[in-house]
Amino acid sequence: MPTALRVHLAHACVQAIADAVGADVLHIKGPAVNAALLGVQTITEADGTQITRRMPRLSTDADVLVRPSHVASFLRALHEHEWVTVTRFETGSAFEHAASLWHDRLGYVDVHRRFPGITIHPEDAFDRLWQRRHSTPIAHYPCQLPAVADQRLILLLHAARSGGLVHHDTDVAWTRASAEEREQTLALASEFGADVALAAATGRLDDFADDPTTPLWRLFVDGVPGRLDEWRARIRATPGLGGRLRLVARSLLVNTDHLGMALGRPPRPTEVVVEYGRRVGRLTGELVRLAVRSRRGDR
Amino acid sequence: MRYAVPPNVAWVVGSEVDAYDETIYVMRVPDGLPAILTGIAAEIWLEAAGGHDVVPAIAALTGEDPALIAPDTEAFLADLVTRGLLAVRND
Repeated sequence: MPTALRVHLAHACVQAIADAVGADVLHIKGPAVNAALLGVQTITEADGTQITRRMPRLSTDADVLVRPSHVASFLRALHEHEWVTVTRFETGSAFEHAASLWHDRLGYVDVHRRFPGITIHPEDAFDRLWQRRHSTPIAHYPCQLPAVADQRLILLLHAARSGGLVHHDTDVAWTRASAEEREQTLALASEFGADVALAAATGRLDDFADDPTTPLWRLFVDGVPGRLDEWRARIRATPGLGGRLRLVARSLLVNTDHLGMALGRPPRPTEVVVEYGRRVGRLTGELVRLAVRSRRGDR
Repeated sequence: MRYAVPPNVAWVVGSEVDAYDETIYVMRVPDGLPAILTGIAAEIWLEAAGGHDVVPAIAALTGEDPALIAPDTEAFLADLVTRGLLAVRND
């Protein structure tokens, strides 16, 4: 079965599991995106006639945002239905926002416990999205989706982590948006405390030059030049000394989930130690490069 | 006889992602095995899922005698019902 179609069925199955355990789940990205937020393509038929249609989003995984207080019960239910955790929240990304699960027939689902860029409390953010949700079928199965305006913001916040203005979602959701839609999106970003992330997606980061999270967003927009730069930006964006120290300590820990994926099996203790040595070596190398750059006055 | 898709069944048509793919994938959620329907099987599914009287509809589509295609068509529909992918409508 084509992966993009399998994703449709995965959304339906995940919704069925959520319904069974009473977990509030919102489907985001991929086939959950409203037609108004899709690009348009023109197909030329064999007889020369042209058909214009919305471009389908060809996802490789199903993405869902789960009410934070329901995450534990929802993950337990997924595990009872043959879904296996591949990466945990703590190891999935720099934002620790999503866990990835695999099913032999349905592929991947990414379970988001919050959405990067939104800075108000995750439960509060979910509540706001949930109150405005609507039911739309995916694979002819009723699924819960954010309001179209909220979807626009979510797509842009995702684009902020993947190139900003050059991301195709930014083109549809921002560049081609009406003045009224942009105003609405800016207001929503303020409601969710996502002004900086939206600015990153829409090329306005200079308006937030003093914000401590701006260097991190700039890295995601411009491309990440090195792990050390990313960690420096993450530390600067983390409020409080305790949080920063925890982040520094974690920077050297081996991501056993990713190591396991690379090996195709759970890593042995010796392999974890070897990988730890590699991480320290890479960090040392980047420190040296940084020192050289500083001496040259590059930055 | 008319049919309906049970509430615990999801299905998707290939044209969702490829304009020229008319394959249908149907499964019971959340744990069923996806069934793959192509050609006339996909046409029968679409007619049944749409609540239409399937045999006359397929006969019209194929130009075949309804009496000739009825046994195979009804056997296929009965198999889908047995698999829990279709339900017989009582109205």
